[in-house]
Amino acid sequence: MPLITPYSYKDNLIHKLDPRTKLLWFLVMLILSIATRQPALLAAGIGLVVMVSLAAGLDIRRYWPLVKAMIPVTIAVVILQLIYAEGPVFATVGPVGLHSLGFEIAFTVMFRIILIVTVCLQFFMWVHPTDLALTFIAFKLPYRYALLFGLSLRTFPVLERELVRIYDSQAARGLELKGSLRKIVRLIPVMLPFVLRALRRTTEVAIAMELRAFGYEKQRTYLRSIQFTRADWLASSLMVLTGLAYLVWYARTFV
Amino acid sequence: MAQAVAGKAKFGGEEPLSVAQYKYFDFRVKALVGGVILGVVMTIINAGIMERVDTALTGGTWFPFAGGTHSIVSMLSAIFFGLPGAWITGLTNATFAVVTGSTPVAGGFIFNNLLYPIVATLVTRQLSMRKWWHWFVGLIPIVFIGYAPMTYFVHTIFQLPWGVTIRFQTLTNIAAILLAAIFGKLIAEGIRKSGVVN
Repeated sequence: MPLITPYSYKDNLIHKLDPRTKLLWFLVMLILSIATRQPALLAAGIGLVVMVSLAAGLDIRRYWPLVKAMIPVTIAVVILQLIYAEGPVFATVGPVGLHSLGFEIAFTVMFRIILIVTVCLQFFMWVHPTDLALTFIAFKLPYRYALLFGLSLRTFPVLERELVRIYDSQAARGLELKGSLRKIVRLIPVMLPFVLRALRRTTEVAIAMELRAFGYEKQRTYLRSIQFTRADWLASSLMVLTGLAYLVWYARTFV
Repeated sequence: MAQAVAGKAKFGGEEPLSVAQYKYFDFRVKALVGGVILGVVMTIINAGIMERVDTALTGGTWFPFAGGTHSIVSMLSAIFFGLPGAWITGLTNATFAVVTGSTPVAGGFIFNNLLYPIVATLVTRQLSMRKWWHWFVGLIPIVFIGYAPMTYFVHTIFQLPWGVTIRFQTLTNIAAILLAAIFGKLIAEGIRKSGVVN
């Protein structure tokens, strides 16, 4: 599975919204997921993210590998909550008592984890990397720093390939690197050349950028542009008002 | 030459690991690009190796090995590129953690990786980082202060009791100090000898 899910353009109203609107949606969902402590509401939140993703034309099958990767985390949380949660003990395993409230908290945490990872993935599936840089610039971050995210995305696959090459080279020299424990014990023969090659690349990239006068002018032009339209105002207002109404209702009902 | 003289006064006659240790801020393109690339390095090593080991060992509720790699690379960035570079390394890593959804506490990395470089830069500008004790002692405040925001996020996201969260965080911190002190020193000396940065 590739580490980064690629962005793909879809021709529909939600997908065309400004990245700032999508960023607001991302933040609102994150805040609500942390504030909510009811499993049913968190499950409804996941349903909402999936529905919005479908409406935006995103391939929701891409969420599955990530949700699957969270299974060990969820199992650990269930075990920990059964041991450490409050409430009456319903069973004992050796000296350890299992608490009945643990199940409810574990379900809450499980749905929260799924909601957070899906909303994270959704954000980067519908925001173009350059648009993200333009969003930072719109928030008055100098372009010298805003454009570095694009650089990191471009460098990522190159360095990934480099690490594979280093593993292969060290294996060819007879270094046994199969298995997680061996990889940790033999971190230096892999990490040192990896870091050194990355730093050499730093010098090359920096020289290339300076030769193109990167950062010389305070302003520059961009091939793409972002625009906050009427639809964005409407969507953003709706999100803020709904989010606030939800928090007030939640506080009155559950807190 | 002037830096060498200043260094003799500043680091007690000892030559530091990097000339970048003479100043806190470095805004050159090389420092910014170096920050980004080290952030990618950290992400690749963590996502490819360390987080899998952590998930197998702890279920992903605490991160002894990923914390170790994070500390190693953050220290390298602070030593060789100064505070802006170290911030960029941390934020690149945090952004990739959110992009890949590698952990539900990825949002906490943003706050964590803003604080950690500040303490790391402060310490690495007082110690030359050429002796083993510089690493073992210097990393104690860096890790314990730098990782403090994660405690809150682990407690909030996983809804673990404070006592358990603090215990897990302390174990993560100890693992990070040991790994970063041993491997970080070796790698940093390797970089100094190679001359690719200075």
